[in-house]
Amino acid sequence: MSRITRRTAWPGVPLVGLLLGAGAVALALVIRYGLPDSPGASPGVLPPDIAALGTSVVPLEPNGTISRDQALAVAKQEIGPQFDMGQAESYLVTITDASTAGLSDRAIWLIKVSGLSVDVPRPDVASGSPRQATVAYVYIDAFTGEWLTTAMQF
Amino acid sequence: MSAKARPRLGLIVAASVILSVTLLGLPTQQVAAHCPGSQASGGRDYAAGKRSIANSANGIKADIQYTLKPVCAIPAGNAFSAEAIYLCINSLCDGFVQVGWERSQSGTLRMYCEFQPPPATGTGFIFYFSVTAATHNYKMQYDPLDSVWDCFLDGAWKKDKGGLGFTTGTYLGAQGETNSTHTQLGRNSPSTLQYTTLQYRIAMNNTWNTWSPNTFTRDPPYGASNPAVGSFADWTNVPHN
Repeated sequence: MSRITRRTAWPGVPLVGLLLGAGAVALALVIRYGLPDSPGASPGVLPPDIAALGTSVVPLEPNGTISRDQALAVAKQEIGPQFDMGQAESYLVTITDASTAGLSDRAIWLIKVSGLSVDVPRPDVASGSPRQATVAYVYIDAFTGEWLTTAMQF
Repeated sequence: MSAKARPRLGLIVAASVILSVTLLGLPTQQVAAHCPGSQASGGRDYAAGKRSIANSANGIKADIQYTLKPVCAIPAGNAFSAEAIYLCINSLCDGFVQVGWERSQSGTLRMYCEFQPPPATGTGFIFYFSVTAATHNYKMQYDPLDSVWDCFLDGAWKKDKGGLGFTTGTYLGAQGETNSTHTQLGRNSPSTLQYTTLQYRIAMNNTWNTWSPNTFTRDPPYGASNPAVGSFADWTNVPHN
């Protein structure tokens, strides 16, 4: 008898029951924590660049917050409708960043958009060629949907 | 179609055209007039005023007007126009701080705080915040206590950034800027967009001093001038319809 057969042969615990039980546990976990919103958005684990955006960046449970799709719509308006938001990463967090106004223990949707080519202003006398930002972090109030700020590097 | 029906069809078509124009509106002549279609080298057009200063500065500020300027949809996608003041580490502007407002082609109006540590090819940072369509006071100054550059809108702190590698600069500027070949800067001539209360903070004593630009960049069809002490103005030369 195979190993699987021995397990399913336990008295009173048919295979169907085991599968249903496992399914129920999985469903409960999804209800409790939700599906990952995007690549790198696993609850409790933030990528280093996201964690480094504040002195405190803590994952937040979606309780009364706007949806990810709503946050992406706001971000798209800010970044520009010409850019593809399909690969945008989203993180629901509580952030404290002492270097930015309005970001003290604030619940936000943080939308990271990569692969951009956004021209940024620069003094006419500045040496070097005009620059383009390739990544943007859009901060959106998690409860009101208000756009707060956008940070770009170039 | 019968001969009797033809006039009726004509009436329907005419009525449809009139109704469509009424509901959708005619394209404004203003948009066409505000798309001059020129571009200087480097992919940017400027209407700028600037100057070197003898004493190092650790802050700049000014009141900058706002104007409803159409950013034409050519080229599609990524056009902007901006009005801002800046403080450069030197006349080559290897590093700088800049503050002002920007309007994107999609219509979004935002203020921005920009930080470029030297060398100019290194990583720079720009932060956008909301701003209303009105005259505002924009300020950037170095805080020696925290070793950061602070950015303000109407006296309200918005952002700071440290580690820029410079604490003072000797070159000042005020400028309209666009990356598009079809964008208005300032206001349509003979109107002008005004910067007033141009000031820099003298590093040695932290006192604010009025300055006026004495050199200019005027990429056609844009214009720039120093209409009065402590002020700057820029505009677009286009025919009015």
